[in-house]
Amino acid sequence: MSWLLRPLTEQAHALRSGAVTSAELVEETLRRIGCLDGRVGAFLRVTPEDARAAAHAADLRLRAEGEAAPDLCGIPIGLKDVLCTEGVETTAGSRILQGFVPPYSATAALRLAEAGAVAVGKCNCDEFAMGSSTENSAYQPTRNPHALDRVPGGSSGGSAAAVSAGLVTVALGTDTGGSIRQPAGLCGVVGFKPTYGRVSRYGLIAFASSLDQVGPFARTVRDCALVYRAIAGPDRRDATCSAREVEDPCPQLSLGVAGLRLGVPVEYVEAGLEPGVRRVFDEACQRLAAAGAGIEPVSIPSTRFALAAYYVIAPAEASSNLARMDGLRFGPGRPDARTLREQLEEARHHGFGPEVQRRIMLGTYALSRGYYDAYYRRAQQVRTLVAQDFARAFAKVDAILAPTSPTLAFRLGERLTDPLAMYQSDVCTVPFSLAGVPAVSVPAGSAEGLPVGLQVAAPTFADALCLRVAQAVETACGVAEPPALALEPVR
Amino acid sequence: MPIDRDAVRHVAELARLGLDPADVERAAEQLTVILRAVDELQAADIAGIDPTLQVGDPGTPTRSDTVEPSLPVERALAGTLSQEAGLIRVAQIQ
Repeated sequence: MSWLLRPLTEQAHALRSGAVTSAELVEETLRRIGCLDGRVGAFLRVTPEDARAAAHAADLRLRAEGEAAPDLCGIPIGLKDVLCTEGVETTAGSRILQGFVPPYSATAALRLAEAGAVAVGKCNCDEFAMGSSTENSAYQPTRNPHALDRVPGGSSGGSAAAVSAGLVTVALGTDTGGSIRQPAGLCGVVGFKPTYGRVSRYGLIAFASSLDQVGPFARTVRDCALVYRAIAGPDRRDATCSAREVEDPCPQLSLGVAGLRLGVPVEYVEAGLEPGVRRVFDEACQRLAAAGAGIEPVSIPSTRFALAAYYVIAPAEASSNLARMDGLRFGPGRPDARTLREQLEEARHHGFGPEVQRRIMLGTYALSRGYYDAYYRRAQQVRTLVAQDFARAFAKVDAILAPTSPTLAFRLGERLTDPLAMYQSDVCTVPFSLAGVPAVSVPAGSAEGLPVGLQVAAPTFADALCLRVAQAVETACGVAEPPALALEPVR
Repeated sequence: MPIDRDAVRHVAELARLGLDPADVERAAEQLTVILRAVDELQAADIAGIDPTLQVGDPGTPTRSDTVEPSLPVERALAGTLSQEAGLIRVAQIQ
């Protein structure tokens, strides 16, 4: 089996024992991308020369530092294309940023580079992270490695598919309303959205600043925890990044769930789940109960309003954040326009795709005079209700279990012309985003040959506990099998 | 609540989207459908509830107010459409 399909922990051990070098891992990564990614479309661009140079440096460091080298040293990684990378084109999946080469790197990307991780390229995503299927990328759709006629989820679908297909060991994504967890669930990998403010957003191209959070994708919970540990923590370049010390999740991972109280929100399982999703979720809950957890119902009554609140707050923030996309400061622009207004309108009209334009209009409308109180302010008040509901639930239980997505991976094109159906994909992930709590999607089984994810959420800044429960899910349900595509011989 | 074509034209203008006249009708239809769903919010009992502007840690961390090196102007402007004397040059403002 390819090294890339083995856990990061195993690769890290092999790198230290000399069984493999980072240079070899990177060549294998490049071969696999060359052979398999034509069908998956996980990467928007690959940077082989930079990767080879970084792998060489990592090998020297591993030789010099041995066991003391960081866990990620020499490990091939992918980065979602909304994370700025100095000297490497970063487009956020949008035409309006085509050719944009950032003069600095995102803190999360920089921290992985400092830990010796080897970035091999930029992963595809929905334009400005707006979408749930990665079909909104201006450049290409990404396909689910488990079924190429189906979506990988989104918006971090490229990152999820890259890890699922074994093109990289781990990847970074971003999550605003579910953009890490939903694709992780649909692609059969682990995806973790840390507490809001736990990971710096510096260098992340903003979608909705009060919700955006950077987080990892990996094959196992432990691998996810290792990446999280490397990227989390205070950053003086992001004022919303918490100054609290990061609790190391790794020592707690194997503690299990015996004696823990795990809540299942009744509103999540009452209606709308596909039968296969419901079956896998119920079985996973039974396994956790057998492992000693107390499973009990909790209620999040504001759930019925959460999606509506999200689809006011996120577009409102986006309409403001995306005002800077003017074709003047970066991107292709319109040099032949006669007036500034023409420059702006032409750059934005041709540069933004339909979904981004739709959300900008929605957000502008919600913020405009006469509608602000009815929409934006009310949505923020509902956000308070959601946070209060979770606070009440977490007073009763240690963590919450929920399905990640109400459906299995859907077919490409199926929801593309129906925005509302697409938005429904986020119904199980959005409430946790509004509350700002940590949440992770872990593979829990499969239905109709497609992966099903289970979501674990914990109180704010209890990220370590969240990963501990996720590890128990993985132990109870097993690490997901890679897709058949990932097992094909690669030359 | 439905959003009519005039309102679509207005928000598209505010947001400088340069919407084609042919797209106005479709945008009005789609936004109306979305706004109807969003109108679920009107059923929420929010009397006396403060809005949430920010989650996570309250307050803003501070740092010492000292001048430190920043991105050189030429690198910051490297991706601009047109520049002159360290400034971004734009077309005529009307």
